[in-house]
Amino acid sequence: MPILSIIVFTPLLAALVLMVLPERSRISIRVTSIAAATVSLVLSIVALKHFLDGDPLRETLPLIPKLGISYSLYSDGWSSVLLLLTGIILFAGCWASWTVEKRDREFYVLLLVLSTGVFGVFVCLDLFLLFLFYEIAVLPMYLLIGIWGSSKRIPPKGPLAFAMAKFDVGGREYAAMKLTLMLLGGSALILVGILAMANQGAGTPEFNMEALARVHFSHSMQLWAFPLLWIGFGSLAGVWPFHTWSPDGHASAPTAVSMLHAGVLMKLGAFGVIRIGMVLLPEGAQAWAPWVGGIAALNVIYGALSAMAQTDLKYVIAYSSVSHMGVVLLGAATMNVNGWNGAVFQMFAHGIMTGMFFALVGLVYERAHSRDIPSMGGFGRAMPGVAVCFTLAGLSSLGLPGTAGFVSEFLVFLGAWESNHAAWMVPAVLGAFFTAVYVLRATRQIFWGPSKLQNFPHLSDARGTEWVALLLLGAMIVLFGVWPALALHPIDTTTMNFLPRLTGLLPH
Amino acid sequence: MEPLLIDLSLAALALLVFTADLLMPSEEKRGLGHLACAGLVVILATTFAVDLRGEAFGGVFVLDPLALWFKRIFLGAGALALLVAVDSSEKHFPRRQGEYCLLLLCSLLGMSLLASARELLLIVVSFELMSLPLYSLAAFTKSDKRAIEGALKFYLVGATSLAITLYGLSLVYGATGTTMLPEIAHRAGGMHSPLLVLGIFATLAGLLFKIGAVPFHMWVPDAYEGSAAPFVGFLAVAPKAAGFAVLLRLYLEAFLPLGGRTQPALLVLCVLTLVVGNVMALKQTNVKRLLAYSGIAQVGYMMIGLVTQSSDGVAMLLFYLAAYLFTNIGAFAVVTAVNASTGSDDISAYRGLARRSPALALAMLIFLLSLGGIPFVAGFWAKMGIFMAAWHAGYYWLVLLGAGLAVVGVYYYLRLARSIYLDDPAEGQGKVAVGAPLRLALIVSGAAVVLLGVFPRAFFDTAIEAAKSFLR
Amino acid sequence: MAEAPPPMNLQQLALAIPLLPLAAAALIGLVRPIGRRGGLAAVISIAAAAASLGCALALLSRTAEHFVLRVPWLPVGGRTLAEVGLRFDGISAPMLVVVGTVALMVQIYSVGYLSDEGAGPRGRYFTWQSLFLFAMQGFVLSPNLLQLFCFYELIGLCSYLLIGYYWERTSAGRAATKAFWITKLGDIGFLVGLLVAWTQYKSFDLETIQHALERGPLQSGAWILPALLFCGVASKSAQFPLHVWLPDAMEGPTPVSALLHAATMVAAGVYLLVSTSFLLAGAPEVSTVIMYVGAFTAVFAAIQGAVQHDIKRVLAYSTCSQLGLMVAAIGAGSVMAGYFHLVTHAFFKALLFLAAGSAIHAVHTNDLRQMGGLGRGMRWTGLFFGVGMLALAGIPPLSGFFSKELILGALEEHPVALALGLATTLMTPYYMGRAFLLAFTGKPRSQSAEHPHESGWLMRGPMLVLCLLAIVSGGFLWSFGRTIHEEAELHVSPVGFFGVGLALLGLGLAWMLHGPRKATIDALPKAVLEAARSSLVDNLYVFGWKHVLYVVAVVTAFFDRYIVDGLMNLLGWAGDKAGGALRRVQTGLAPDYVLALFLGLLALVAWGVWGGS
Repeated sequence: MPILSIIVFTPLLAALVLMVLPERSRISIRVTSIAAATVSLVLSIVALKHFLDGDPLRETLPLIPKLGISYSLYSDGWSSVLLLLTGIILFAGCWASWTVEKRDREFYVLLLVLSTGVFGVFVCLDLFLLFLFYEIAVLPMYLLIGIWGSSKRIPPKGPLAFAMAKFDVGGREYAAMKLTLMLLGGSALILVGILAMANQGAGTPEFNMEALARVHFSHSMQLWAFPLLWIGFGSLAGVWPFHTWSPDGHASAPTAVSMLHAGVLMKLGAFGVIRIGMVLLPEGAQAWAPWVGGIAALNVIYGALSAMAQTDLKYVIAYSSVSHMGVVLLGAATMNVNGWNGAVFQMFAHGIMTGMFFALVGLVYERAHSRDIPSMGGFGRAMPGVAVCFTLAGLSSLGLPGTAGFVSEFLVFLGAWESNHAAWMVPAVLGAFFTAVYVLRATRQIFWGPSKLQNFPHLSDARGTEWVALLLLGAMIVLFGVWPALALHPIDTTTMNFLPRLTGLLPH
Repeated sequence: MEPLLIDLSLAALALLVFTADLLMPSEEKRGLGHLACAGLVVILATTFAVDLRGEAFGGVFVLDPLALWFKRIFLGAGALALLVAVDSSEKHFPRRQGEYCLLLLCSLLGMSLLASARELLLIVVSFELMSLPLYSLAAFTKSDKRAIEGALKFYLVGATSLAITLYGLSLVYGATGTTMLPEIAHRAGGMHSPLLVLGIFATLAGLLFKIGAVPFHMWVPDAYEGSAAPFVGFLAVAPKAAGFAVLLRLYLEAFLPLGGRTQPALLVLCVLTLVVGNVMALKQTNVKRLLAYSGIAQVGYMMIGLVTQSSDGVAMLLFYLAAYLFTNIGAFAVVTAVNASTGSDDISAYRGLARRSPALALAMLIFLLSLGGIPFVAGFWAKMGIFMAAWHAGYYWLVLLGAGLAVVGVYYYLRLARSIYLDDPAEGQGKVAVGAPLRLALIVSGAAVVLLGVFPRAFFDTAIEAAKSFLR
Repeated sequence: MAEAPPPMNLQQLALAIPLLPLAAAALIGLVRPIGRRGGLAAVISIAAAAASLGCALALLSRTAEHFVLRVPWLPVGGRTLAEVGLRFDGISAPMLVVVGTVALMVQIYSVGYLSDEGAGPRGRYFTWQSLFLFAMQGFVLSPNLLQLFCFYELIGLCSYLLIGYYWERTSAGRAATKAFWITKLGDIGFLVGLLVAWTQYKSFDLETIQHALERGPLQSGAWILPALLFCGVASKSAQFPLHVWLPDAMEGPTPVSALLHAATMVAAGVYLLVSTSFLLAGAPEVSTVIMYVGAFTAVFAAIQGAVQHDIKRVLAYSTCSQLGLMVAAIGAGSVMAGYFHLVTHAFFKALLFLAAGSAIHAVHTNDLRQMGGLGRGMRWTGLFFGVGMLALAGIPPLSGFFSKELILGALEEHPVALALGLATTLMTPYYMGRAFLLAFTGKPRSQSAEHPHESGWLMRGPMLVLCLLAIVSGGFLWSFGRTIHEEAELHVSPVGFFGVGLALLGLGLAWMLHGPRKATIDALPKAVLEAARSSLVDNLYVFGWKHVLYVVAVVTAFFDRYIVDGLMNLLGWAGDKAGGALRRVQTGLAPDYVLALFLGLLALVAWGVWGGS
């Protein structure tokens, strides 16, 4: 049974079903989507199981032999863990968007299409197909944000006000357009990088990653091809200064979309940088590592500081993901086993954590009709459950032991410390502290303190379907924090498989 | 006479339509459109059914895979264009539908001959046969002032360029003393006569005008804006394809020995076309003009295939033309429908189309995505193919430029998509009525675009074969 | 060390100690029906605490068979990066009992203290209490640095939650957050320490590190690890200048303060220092620094304690200063003394807080100025507080005497530190006496103090237990001490007795200045009061946050929005303008088009004739 293909295409199938579905009752739409999500989720667990049992799943069939393009899927440790992440987030996202009223059918359709793209990228062995899935994952965002998003105008200021005045900065269409264009710009670079790798040998191009892993690319080619992939994928991973789509995008996006986007899509970028850029172009990666790591370190601090200054709840979370993705790329740049394990684990942990955050923010925004933190206060009385979950997510984001966030951050710190650039550890650790500062501050301002509920009449705790996402994600945070080996073991196995390409020396 | 079958049957079809036009009572002329269309489809089918390859008139006329590919494109374009035109022509010029079909068929015949011509005179003749009907077709809606103006410009500039082409070709003949392309290639080998060079470049100018490359593109927006949408769909695809056919024949066969001279010039113009087309499309608010400029940009991408002077390049160019045919005619079919119901081509006429007539909106979205080069629709593979060919030929920077400009392209396509999907319809904007033939055309081209996007393999293989047979 | 697998029942006992409270916490926290019934929650939590204490006591008799239990936790590079497990030995055994006892007493006491609270909040309260107990016991049992760190942070979390128990008070929220931030700040040191430990010893395991050190001390950089670890210690154990969170932590309910300040939060720091003390052997300079930091904190806090009006703050600062003494002793090399004092202090400080709590419960204020003459109304409470005071003052034969005596003995070789230590021994009885006299003797200074009601047995019982422990624990441990620690060589030093003299002197001072007859609130000179009350260190932190960190943050945010993102917008703007400019070329006039055509032609021809190859 082609499990991987089923994982990848079930959402697409469900989307088609929804489109042609004659019966369009609220419930049937949701049930269909959730069913599809469940299938993918369960099968992704199966895929992980297969990997752990030592027979990883693999599917191949030629697509356009003349162009060297073939349809081949493979799930190694990294892929299967990230599949699991995607499955979880998609499942939670479908539940979290239960309350979407406006044109909900199209909403779910796009959501499912997008997730097909995401699944595809994670398991795809063929670079060309990977690029194709990548585009699929990125594009629906435009409509999802443009139609269902929320706007909050930001007055143009500063030296470049004249340029900003041309667009309605903060508007949802602006955010959608900026996000799409920046990410497509990135994908243009990716394309060039991919073609560069594929067309090394004479004759028909070679797109299969495993085959490419055996090719030794010329040093000069690696030197210029790696930055293309780094910046191209990096723009999706929120690498400074190509991160500016992220705050606006995530702030404007509807709940489930920001869950998926911050929770999974940004991981696509980081995954691409490591899995394609670094593994296939080791020399280039080695040469550029100082830059990758340096900018990642900058990301961590810069994102945390920016988050600290925000008064808009969604912007706080959005900037925090910029900062946490910095941790991922920092781990990647260390090029040692701890760093890489940390990086991939951080993808997983941050995915879950930020997914939960955006689910909660969505809940609060839905009820309070405001994202302005200073105006809030004492929400803990009206929504104790939400308060607890928010605290939990916050603790994971500041890397408290017992939550998934700690494991990844600790591994990355260790990796950075062991790497040739021990100094990277400093901004990373500081970033963690800054996170503690702004997260706890936000928690206190929103949920603690004397009640301002009179200004927010419609406040109420999460109910019914809304709990599903929160409980699932919360459980995951704790589970993988207490028993990290669940994810760390497969990740580690694959890391040990890739790493020797970069460093002859293995960990002590 | 097998190789000539297609062209002969085209001519026959034209005569049939002509006679039928004379006999038919004026209220039933609508049938003529159907008749012509059906005829074209039959011919198209035969090209797949029987193997007609071969030569005629001692190599003056050839039906090689390349020519066959082009003929199929022409036939497809003609059929779809007629289908799209049926309703609107009945509305605007009910009694002259026969003439319309006749002219279009004649032009098609010219193109079809052009694709097979390997001799200068035949090229010139069929070139005329293709062009003249187009001018009159552009002006077909006499009542419309803008149409007349556009057509006049089209004619003036077109005639000039034609003159230039003729002049160039005559110089080529003068220099080489033969009109057979292979012979020219043979003689031009060691030749360094400025006459020949002058001829080659003069001809080039004329042909570039036909495909609407910068700086010979000026006529395109006006002609598009002026003429009726159904015809524009045809104008945007078929003549361009024909122009490329001639370009291939001349510059990759006859003048290949001097490729070293022409190729850099082509490269420069290709880049110009890419940049100008994309940038100018940014500010357009009239959908026809927007599509006109985007078309110019698309030509830029196709020229990349020409520039590489490799069989890959040619193959990808052929594939691109096929993708472009369905995408563009489909897009203009939507424009036809919207124009017919709202009478406007402005972007604002498309506000909230998704709410008003979802199917039409979805079709337009598919075509726009294809134009933008997005996966799972034809345009994606077209662009990818071109880029891969360019990469093979070593034009890395050109790939980067192309990919970058593709993003700019996505911006203005999304602007249209945005008003279709995101904006709310203005009051008074109701459902857009789509007649049966138009719907059929939409379904066909939409299906083709998606099909090419999902299973491009067959097309790629044929295109690569054709290119190999032409240039190895 | 026992590498052989330990006897099963021992393992189970040891495991039960932390896991029982965890189970209770999970039960109360996750099962809503239980959480909503405050009483039931209390019962479950207390039962778990009692059971866990029972296990601890059962183990205490078997300290000889110490063992270590390890389970792989982080698989990295095909090997195990870190383990989790248990370490039961002479160091952890007594601590388990102390923590268990105090926690149990505090929980029982809380039932009475919070009787007028809502059921929901009480459920929450006992969840955190149990979680706290789990964290602390887990911490005590940790065999490696990483696990120590993990539970260290968990302890921080629990105290954050408990300090913020009255979360709807702004002040409580601020205090809780502050506590978390400051301890987190110190833990950065601890975290980096872990990294250093890994690079230096390729392991987090305490035994392994100890063996490595025994085999051969590091060539260089041996001082880094202990120094970094001390940052963590200083933050949790409230050493200057990281002590600022501790006084504010009084925002929590009094039993919580008792727990935090006696046996858990602050004790954790010292315990960490004790269990990693073998690192100090190789780093004399660090030890010295630690000693002086401790000694200074002791005096500094003692002075602060002497000027407070809030009885809880008096106790808080006294905790701070006692911790200083312990740290100083360990820095001076006598781990035994520090640990000993930690234990005894746990009992009498808990007692003091609970007693203060019952007084506050009666008069509904923390302010000494509102109290007075409570002794008449509440004899028991007065008695308990008095015993606690004497124990803290170090009057023989109460427990405080023995431990303090040891500490002073430890400081003998270091004149400066010794002087500071003696100063503390003088100050301590003074401010404690002051607090006692102002609260329990003299005339009532407010209506609420007129007719105070003695609290019920639910609160008196635990106090009684702790009172007895505060009396006997010192002597008991004195004899027990040998088994606790290898280098436990206990002797009574002359300094010790000098200390007793000072203590009596201090009490006398307190009696003269604040005795029933005069009952002045502030006897110290104005200047001292001013200086001590001006929260200078606090303001430093506030400045660091408001005027440094936050400003930087705002600047960064502006830069990101209006410069970085501004540039992106500039790009779009430029493209737009370019489109507009090119549009003007398209005049719409046929002649222009023809002109363009010819120009293009000319260019081409020119290229063809002159350019190209």
